[in-house]
Amino acid sequence: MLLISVCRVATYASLRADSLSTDECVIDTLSEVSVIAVGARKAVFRETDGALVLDARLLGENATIAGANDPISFLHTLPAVGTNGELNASLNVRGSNNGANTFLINGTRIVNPMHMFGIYSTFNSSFFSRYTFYPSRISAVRPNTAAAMFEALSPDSPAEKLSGEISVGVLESHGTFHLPLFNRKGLLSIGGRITYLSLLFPDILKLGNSYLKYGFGDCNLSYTHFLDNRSKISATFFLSDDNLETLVRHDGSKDGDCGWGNLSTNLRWSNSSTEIILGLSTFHNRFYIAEAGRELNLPSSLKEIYAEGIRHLGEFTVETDVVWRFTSGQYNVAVMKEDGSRSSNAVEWNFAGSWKHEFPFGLSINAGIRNTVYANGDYLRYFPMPRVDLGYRCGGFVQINFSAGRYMRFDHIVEESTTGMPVDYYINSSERESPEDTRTVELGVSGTIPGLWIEFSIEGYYKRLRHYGEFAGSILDMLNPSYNPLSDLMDGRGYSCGISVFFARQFGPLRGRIGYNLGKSRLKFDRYGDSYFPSSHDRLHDLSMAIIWNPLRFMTIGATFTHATGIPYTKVKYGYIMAENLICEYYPHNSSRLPSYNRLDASASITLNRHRITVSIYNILANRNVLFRYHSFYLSQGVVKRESVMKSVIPSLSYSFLF
Amino acid sequence: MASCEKDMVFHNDEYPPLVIEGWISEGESPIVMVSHALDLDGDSIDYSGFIEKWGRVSVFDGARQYLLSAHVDKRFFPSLIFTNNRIKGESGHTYRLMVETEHGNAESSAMLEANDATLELRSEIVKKNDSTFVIRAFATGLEEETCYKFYVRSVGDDPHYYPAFKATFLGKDFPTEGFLISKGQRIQLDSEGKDRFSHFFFNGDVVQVKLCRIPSSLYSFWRNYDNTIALGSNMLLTFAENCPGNIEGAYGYWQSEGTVVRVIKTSAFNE
Repeated sequence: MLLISVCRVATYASLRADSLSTDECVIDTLSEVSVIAVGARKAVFRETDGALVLDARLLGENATIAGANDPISFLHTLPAVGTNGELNASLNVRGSNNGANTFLINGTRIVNPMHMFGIYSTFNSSFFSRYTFYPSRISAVRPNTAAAMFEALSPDSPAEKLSGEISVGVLESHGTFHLPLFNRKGLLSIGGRITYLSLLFPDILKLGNSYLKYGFGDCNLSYTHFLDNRSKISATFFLSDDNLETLVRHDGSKDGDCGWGNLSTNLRWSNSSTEIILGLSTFHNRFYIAEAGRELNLPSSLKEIYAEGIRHLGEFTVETDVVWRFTSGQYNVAVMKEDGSRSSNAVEWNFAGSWKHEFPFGLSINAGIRNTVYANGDYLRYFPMPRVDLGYRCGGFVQINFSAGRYMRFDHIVEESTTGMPVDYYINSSERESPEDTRTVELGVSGTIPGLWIEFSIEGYYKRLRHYGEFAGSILDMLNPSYNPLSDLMDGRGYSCGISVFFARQFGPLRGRIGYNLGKSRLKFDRYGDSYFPSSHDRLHDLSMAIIWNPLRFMTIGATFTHATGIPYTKVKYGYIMAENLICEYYPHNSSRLPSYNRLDASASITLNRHRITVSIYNILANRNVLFRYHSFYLSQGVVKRESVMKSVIPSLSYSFLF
Repeated sequence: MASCEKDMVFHNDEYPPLVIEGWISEGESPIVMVSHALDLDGDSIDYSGFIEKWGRVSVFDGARQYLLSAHVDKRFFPSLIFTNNRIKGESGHTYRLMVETEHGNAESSAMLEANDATLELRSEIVKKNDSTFVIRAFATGLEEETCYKFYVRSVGDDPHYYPAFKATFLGKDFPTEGFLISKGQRIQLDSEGKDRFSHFFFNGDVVQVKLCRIPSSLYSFWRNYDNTIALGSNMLLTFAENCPGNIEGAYGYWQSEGTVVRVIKTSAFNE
């Protein structure tokens, strides 16, 4: 924030703008004034409707793995978003599962926004200008979601000249160009990214006896044509592909090939009061593994076409959209032919309205209702989703908010893996798999501490979760041609509650953020009895602290510390020998905890003219974080307890050319 | 709850539960192994009570009781087995197992039903690894809702039959193109670790394949067993479910087996 006091200033004198108090000032005529101030560098900005806006240019100042200025990695440092362990590509927001979220690029859905192992998301920050994240308080006129909404936005204002970035790093490289066309009436943006980890380090990825070869690529394209000062038409295109191969050293008894890909494209016309979007989103999985001569070949896909119209009428906004969605279901094509019995076509018709009003005495209201008529075969239902968001601004620096609402989504992810592997797939909601349904109440206060310029927010939340799906089977059962994994998809219910606290100082050469969440999320499934148990991503304490320092104008040093309660797991109580193998008997589901998770990352970058070099070190203290526990039996040693641990220190170096 | 289907509650001062592995095949004597589970929750593991040496094991054929006597048979692990060669499995008979120990009793019943299936075998070279083989089994006469299981034994290498890999199925799920049989993973009793284990057979192996008709109550047991062996140590695709046995008062199983046995010598020329 730039501080300016109106005061008596000697001609040609210069004073620090923040050194003057209002007591010293009288109104006078300014003949020539130089104002020098350090502006805020807000990597994250909170809007009055609860949205968090991330500045894509500033994400790189934060220390993350491989120095990637990844927005999803940044989100994990916010209190609403649960900390992820390594290899976990999911986003759990206030107790909800990953599949409950909605991800968009320029208004169009991205089905799976993560590349494998959770290191990178599909969002190339050199291409996008900003991101909008709604952990809650989502307006009725926005697309359906049962948890959070995240949208990546490419530049959409006229550009003066060619700009962009080319970056080369140890793990990945990317390039982006923003090119003005037609005398600045058009803006063409092109971005691409590729990894080559396995090319440079072929043996670096191991899992047990298997070697992994992994790579991904993604590309973005958008064109905006400015018809006049108020209206524009744009086209967006996104494509990504992940590929993973597994190879066993000895006897070739297991090999695998898997991956996934997104495609998203839309056409959009908008002016100051109206917006029309036509869009297409597709996602496909492939998962092949051969074990002991038997094959699992589990492709799946989701396709979605939609049309949306939004109209702003003063304080009112009305929206309607129609979505057609196809899901393939999952077959093992190695043992059975696809006969269409597991695929489904569903249609959603949504119509919504919202009303925003500011009352003179500081009270504001944003109330609305979203209505969905959903059809999947014989299953036809109407679902109203009312929402209200009340705000009260007091003292100019503080706002109190209360919100309540119902949120639903009409497709589920069947998570057959624990880490977002491409064996997870999507299904349409149906009579048997009811739409995921969340009812949320929140009360919070946010604002800025005067004088210190520290932004803060403290929010309490309570969510009821219904039709929360969890998979309790095994993909090996897909060797059986008649097995349908939906027979092991449990329908659960539960709740999550907690308090999220956030402080940020994004001003001056020393900046920082603290995000802390005290919360719990509990689920209940008939299969596990009548008691609640912790969800797989439940963490009582979740703390993240980030510091960014500019000791010199061209140098940025950053550090991020994360501490989180260990996630639940199902612990072994007894082991016994059966058919000459070790079999385990477990404590109740998710009744134990892994050790707490701790990690410190650091980064440093130097930017000179158009050249930037970034060095980052992930897990600089080599904290030993347990990812997984299991037991093995050896005749000479007996039963041996084992752990998969992430303790590596991962350095990374990248060079970027900015223009 | 130790499992969703049996109400076994853990108590810290409880003696580790009984574990029973037992079967009676058509025309064969019953074999029963009795041990105790190992408590893996502590800092160290106490193996002292692992083998149950003093149990009294009986098999009832109707009203007639047969006491099984303990023998050391190093073909098995654990090597203390209970058996009685005066009783042989007959189809149509229900066999009740009773185990009595100082720390608890266990009981189970299983009816031995005839296996009227026919079985033919063919060996095939493994894709991408032409020095190894799998066996393709063709079966007819399977009853749709009946549970079956394949066991295999490499003559000369394996001292007895072992469960084949992921080879428990209902009759209606038997694939028309044949069932691929390979070895199920197991502890290597003659070496350290799992690295020497191979699922496959080698050229010239003489392999006995046994198709068993087993009680349907054991379908979930073997299904979870197979998933545990394959995925229990897999971080990406974990499986942490109990194996719901059919013995009251113990973990494990008591299994009757209506059997069909065939033998094949693996060779590239069989294809």
